[in-house]
Amino acid sequence: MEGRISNAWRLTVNDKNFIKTALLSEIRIDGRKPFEYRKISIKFDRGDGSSEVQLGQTRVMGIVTAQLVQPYKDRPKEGTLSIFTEFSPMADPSFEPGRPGELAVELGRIIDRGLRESRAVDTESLCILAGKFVWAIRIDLHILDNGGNLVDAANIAALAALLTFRRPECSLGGEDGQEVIVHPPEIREPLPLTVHHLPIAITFGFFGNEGILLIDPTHNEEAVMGGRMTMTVNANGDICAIQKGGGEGVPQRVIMKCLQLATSKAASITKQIKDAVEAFTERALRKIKRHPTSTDVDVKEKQNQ
Amino acid sequence: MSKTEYVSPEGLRLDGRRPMEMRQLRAEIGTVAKANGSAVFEMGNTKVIAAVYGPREFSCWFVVDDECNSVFQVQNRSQQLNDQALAVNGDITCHPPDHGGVHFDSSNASFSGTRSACINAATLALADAGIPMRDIVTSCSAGYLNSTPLLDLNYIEDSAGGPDVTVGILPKLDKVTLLQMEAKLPVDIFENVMGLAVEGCKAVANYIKEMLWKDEDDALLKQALALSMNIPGSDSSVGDAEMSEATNDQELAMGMSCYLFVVLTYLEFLCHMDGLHNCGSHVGLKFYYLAKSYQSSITKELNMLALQMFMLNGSIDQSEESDVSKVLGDQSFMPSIISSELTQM
Repeated sequence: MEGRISNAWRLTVNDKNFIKTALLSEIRIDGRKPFEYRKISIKFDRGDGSSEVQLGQTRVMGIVTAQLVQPYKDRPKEGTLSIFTEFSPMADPSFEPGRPGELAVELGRIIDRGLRESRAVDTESLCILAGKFVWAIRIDLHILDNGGNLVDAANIAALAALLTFRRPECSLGGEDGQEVIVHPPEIREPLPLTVHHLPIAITFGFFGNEGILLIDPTHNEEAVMGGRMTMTVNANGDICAIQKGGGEGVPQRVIMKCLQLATSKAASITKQIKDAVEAFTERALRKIKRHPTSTDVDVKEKQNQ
Repeated sequence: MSKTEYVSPEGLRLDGRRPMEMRQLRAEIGTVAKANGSAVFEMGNTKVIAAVYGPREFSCWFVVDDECNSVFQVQNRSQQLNDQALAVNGDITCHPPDHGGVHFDSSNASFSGTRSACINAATLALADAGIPMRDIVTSCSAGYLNSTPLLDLNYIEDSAGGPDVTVGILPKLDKVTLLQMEAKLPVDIFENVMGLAVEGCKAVANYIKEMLWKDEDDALLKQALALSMNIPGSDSSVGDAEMSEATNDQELAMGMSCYLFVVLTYLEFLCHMDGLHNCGSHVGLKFYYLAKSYQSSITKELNMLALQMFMLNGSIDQSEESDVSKVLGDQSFMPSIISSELTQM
């Protein structure tokens, strides 16, 4: 990928040969085995719907926001889900500010396909008033540090942010029942999104003629490898999206092998995301006291005094 | 989305095809006059025109690498094709200072169908431009609707929102280079659908090969020769004049190398198309080895031979290939090179 960008960072020939030679004896420069994933750590910010994922040295921040908009004419009962990527030059000098690069477009599209085409997020439940008001969910993905395999990290960040996101509850009111009332979080508990399943992106790297296959390539390995393939699968064993845009050709049996590997990895990553989200939600619920009953009590007490 | 029936109880699709039937293919090369290589590729009603400009000279200020991949610029009308089109580029290893541009213009857009047609058109256009390729890349899509795997989705089937798999393969190496899949599908069904798409790719590859092979004997070879003749001088008469005056000029030698390079490029491609061995005693093989040996050892004899061939400009253009082979056969130049090359094979 990076070879095509003019100001891309390049590895020296010696470094490349070193990585390749080590891989021939199934050794990776960071000490992992070929099919070992890097350590994932998921952190959440104070607010709902924001996550920061660290995958080895790669760091991606995901932020989910929602807005009430008019739906598309052809889908009056469906909310929308859109993904925006931000590749800042801070993460990698080859990212140009402003213009989205090839990698940025590809990354956005892979995650978009995984989430949307597989209908992971229930968009119909985002409808408030058919044809007039639906929630538009926006996922912003900020690349903070490029340590390789941005797609997987960004995908996890998007999922974690989606799972912790809460949208304000709405009801219809007014004389004709056509007016939308958005309840503040203090009045009514905000609602989580309906996420049917978690499509997990798993990226594989292919190394030329030797037929080396590895999972979760680092930045250095990405500079050496001849081709990549991202498979988006969920824990139920469904394939949600596959992206292999050119590069080294691989035989069909290798693809099927990758699928098996991806399915098993997806199960463990799904568990990690769910555990992290659960831990966060419990903590958040304990911290935030926004139940109307408690405020009522306060008011009454004040009146008594 | 809606409960439309995409496969009738009789097993026919909306456009009357059977589930495993492709749309009609039609291809034509050399359709854009100005481009170095161009092709029209039609899959049913989807029509794609691809034009290749290049190889052009290109300043290689950053290419210091053990493996030099060529730089390709792909300009697309629709952004959707951007990364897909790159699939083609990834499989082309070129001589380092080459710079090409591929331009697509898809007139009737359907989604995955367009993607496949674009890749097929680009392959043809690149072949037409004489860019050396490891193998041709062909592409085809397949989907899964009404519990039936369907080959080569048309626009309506594609917009149904069902799973669709687009595959691009290198037919000779039997490797998958492009693979894209959308919507949810269990693993075992995916395997079937992908297998179907690969079969489709192979059918497209056969069609493309047949098409290129059909007129390879005369048209492409002649084209190669004609094109090579144009490189040293701006037109043949100027070339002739130059030649008669300066026999052993360095400029001319450079012209020769250029000329041989182009011939090599074409023949490399032709030989790749059907495997080197199938060329047999074909005149192309001789050209191929001649050019190959020229590349490895720049000798005066070869220069002279190239010069003689160059002088035969007129006769090559009009004569049958047997004449060319006779001319080549008559030469007493370095038979050792050719024979050694042949025995190596």
